[in-house]
Amino acid sequence: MTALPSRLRRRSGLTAADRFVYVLALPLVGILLVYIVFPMIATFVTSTGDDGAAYADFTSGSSGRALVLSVGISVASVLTAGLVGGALAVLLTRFEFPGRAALRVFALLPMALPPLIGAMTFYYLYGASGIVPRLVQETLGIAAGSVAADGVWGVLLVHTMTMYPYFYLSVSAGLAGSDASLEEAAMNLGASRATMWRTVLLPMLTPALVSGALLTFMVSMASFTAPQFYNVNTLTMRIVASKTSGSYELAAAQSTVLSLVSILFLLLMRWYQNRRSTRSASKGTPQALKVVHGALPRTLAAVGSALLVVVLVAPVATILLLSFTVDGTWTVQILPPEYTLENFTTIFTDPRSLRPLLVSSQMSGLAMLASIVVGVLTAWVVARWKGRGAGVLDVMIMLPWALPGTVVGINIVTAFAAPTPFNLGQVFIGSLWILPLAYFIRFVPLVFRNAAASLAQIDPSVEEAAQNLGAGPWRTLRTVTLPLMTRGVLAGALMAFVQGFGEYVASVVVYPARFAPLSVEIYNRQYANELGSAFAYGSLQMLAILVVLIISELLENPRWRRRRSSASPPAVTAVPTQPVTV
Amino acid sequence: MTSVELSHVTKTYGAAAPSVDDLSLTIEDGEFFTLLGPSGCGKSTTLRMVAGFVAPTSGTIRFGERDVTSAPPYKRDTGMVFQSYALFPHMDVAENVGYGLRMRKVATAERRTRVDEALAVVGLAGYGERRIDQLSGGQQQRVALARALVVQPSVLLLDEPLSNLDAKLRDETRSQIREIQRKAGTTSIYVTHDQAEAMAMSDRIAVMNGGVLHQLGEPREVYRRPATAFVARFIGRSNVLPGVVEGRDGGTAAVRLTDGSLLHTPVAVDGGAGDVAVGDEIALSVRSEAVELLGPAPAAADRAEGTIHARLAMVEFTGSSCMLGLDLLDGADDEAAGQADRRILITIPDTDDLPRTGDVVALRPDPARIWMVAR
Repeated sequence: MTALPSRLRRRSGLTAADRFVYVLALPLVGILLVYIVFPMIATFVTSTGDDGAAYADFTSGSSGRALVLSVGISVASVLTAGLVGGALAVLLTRFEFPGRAALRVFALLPMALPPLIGAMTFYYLYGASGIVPRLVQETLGIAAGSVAADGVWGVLLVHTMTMYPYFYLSVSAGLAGSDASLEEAAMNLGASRATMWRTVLLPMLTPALVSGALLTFMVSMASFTAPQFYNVNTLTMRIVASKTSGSYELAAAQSTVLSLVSILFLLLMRWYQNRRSTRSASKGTPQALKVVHGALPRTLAAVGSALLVVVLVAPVATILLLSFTVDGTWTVQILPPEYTLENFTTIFTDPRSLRPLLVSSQMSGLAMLASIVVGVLTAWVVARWKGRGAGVLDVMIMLPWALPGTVVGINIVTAFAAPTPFNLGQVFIGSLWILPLAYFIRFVPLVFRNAAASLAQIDPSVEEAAQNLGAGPWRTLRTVTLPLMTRGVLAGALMAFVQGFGEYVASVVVYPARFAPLSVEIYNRQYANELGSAFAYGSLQMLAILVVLIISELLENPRWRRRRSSASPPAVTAVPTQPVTV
Repeated sequence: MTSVELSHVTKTYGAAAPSVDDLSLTIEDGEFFTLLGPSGCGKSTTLRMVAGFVAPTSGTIRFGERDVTSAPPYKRDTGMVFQSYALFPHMDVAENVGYGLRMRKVATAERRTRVDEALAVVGLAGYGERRIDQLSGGQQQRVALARALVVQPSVLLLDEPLSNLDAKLRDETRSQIREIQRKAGTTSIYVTHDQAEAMAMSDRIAVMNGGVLHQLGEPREVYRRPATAFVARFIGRSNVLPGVVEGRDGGTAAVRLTDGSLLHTPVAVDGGAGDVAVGDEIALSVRSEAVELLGPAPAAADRAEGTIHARLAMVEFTGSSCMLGLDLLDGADDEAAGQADRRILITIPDTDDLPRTGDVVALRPDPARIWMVAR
């Protein structure tokens, strides 16, 4: 060593910080491989068993039709949700009219609808035996069946009303981001208002519209609850049917096809978001709202807003109303005839009724804790890893976000049915651990994404400062990085908890008979015509979501973070917090 | 307190040209040393290698006798002031300043005393319980300084600490930093792209460009006797005029510039272009303030030795003085002497009888302040 001239001594170029990243990455890669990647492979391998007979089945049987139907419904959902969300966004960011304030508040209400109970409430509002068609029949004499949204139309209605926020949020953000001076510049250069929209605003909104469309398409493809209620044979329905009837190979083949479509769209979305550059570069002149003048237009606007607010509030109101219904009393009346508080008191006094609530909160709590550990550490590793591994890890942990819940369920069932070296000999079928595992896989991307977003807001030199002052890597993580991430992570974790609390789509595939989670219990109660009890559970779920939404809002806008809010947006896959759960 | 020795330090990222190329220098104990250069010159990378955030591809770094080349940042005992300050937003001022002491397991009572002292030194006594976002930029800057100094680091590292302050505060703060450093006697490495800052503060300056050390010396030396054309251009306002050596006479040389004028300049054997011989192609560095404006030029044929003829192109009034931009002319006083290096800038005291733009005037660079550099 001494004889060697220092110039010639080549080093690996690794600092202590780099080594720490690798040490941390190793177990994370292991966990993601075993619980996320391996189950997908297991499903694929199962699907190819018997020389691909399942795929022959797929193409010849009803699966092909189901795939076409799924794609068709998804395309239609993109169009309708885009129309509603886009129009609402333009209306609310560009115009001042009576009722605007109320509309702004309620426009995001669909996001508070729990997945299962949300679909149910549309069924009881607009379905053949729903409140609205019966009201129409009673007052106008038109047959309820002819105005009801049933079958494919019902699914489309649920999709539109629950997915338009994807468009509403992205288009609003896009419109708010384009400042007035851009439009003024266009008109100053001689563009008419219509030309300005066509040549300036629409091109600028394209990224927002495309992201909204891709997201809506993915969520629609994954949708299971709505098709189940309206008995529409989409691919997700076929998967559950195949699994129930014991044709595991066919279920696996159907899952593989659906996975491929979903992953394709995830990649498409990532590619598009990385590519887009239409972000306003100007300083931002506040947008002046166009005020609606004149008595008649203002009255019309007010009436329209009021009607819209009623439509937006109706699902939530229906959930609350039905939760007080005496079980089995609502038959052919427009509204349920008898009401009681008993549905709620029973939940908390009858141990059998309380049990699903406990199962769901415990299972979801466990999943949340695991998601926090894995999600936060992965976010940190992805942010600090300078090599290509960061991208791989990012894709690995975001994969479940693209996968429909049904597929996640099938993957777990396939991968952990018998001990193999790949699942480390773990068997979860019929075990209580299968639910937290499913929730963990489904919602770890949510925690990861939130963690990554809060991490992106931290000045990297803050970590360097800590190390410079003598803190080792763990100490730096513990005393500086993690405390700074806490709020963002907590917001994400709570969201993950509440999603797991109401999870239905994967639960219905994997749940052990003795431990029915809340959503499955709701379905069973509804099936047993115990509507009041089902909706009482549902309104508790809705309450939990509302509380979490409020806490998240408070957490994500603390005082010292606000100053930094102009910092660059997170570099990781930007996806809305609402995961695929319809 | 310690010296810092970099020997043959090179940092290469991938296949690109080295960010820092075979850099060797020694920073003396207690010295205020500045790494100066334009952005991308490798000065920040060098500082980050000293701090331990970047590992050198080859070469060694020593603090005194200790080889720290592969020591992690948290075991180097340096104190760093970051460009963004990097204050911990979730801690108050005292917690920020006390962080390094906490890591060094200093007892709570002593920690409190030392934090208070450090805050007093930077003029922020009584600010301990403020939140970081309640401080102005200048105050945040001083908290960062206190945080770095309170641990009594063996080396103080400052990465463009003034670049986020406005001009007036910058001047105030820079003398404060220097004063505090002088009292503490801490070896300091300062990184900046601002040559005025570097000259005002430093004991010695290392001028870097493209990852290479161009010159290392005291501010006056670097200013008066730039080692290369780059240093001449980067420091102060210098005109670098290409020419050919026409004659040698003892300690002086006669240099013919491309526009035909003949200037006499001292030859420095140990600096700049070094010793030169007749026929050598060199360049002359002429400081903008070392040029005298003689008035309207005589006919081209009557051009005196030691003068340059140029056409006045623009005048900038800067308050105490005037900056003139002139275009060099060829031998016949009517054509530009080639596009490159055609513009020459001079600074003169403001007067009422400035020539008008378009006028051809004669200039006389002060022979004692002309400096020869390699082209």
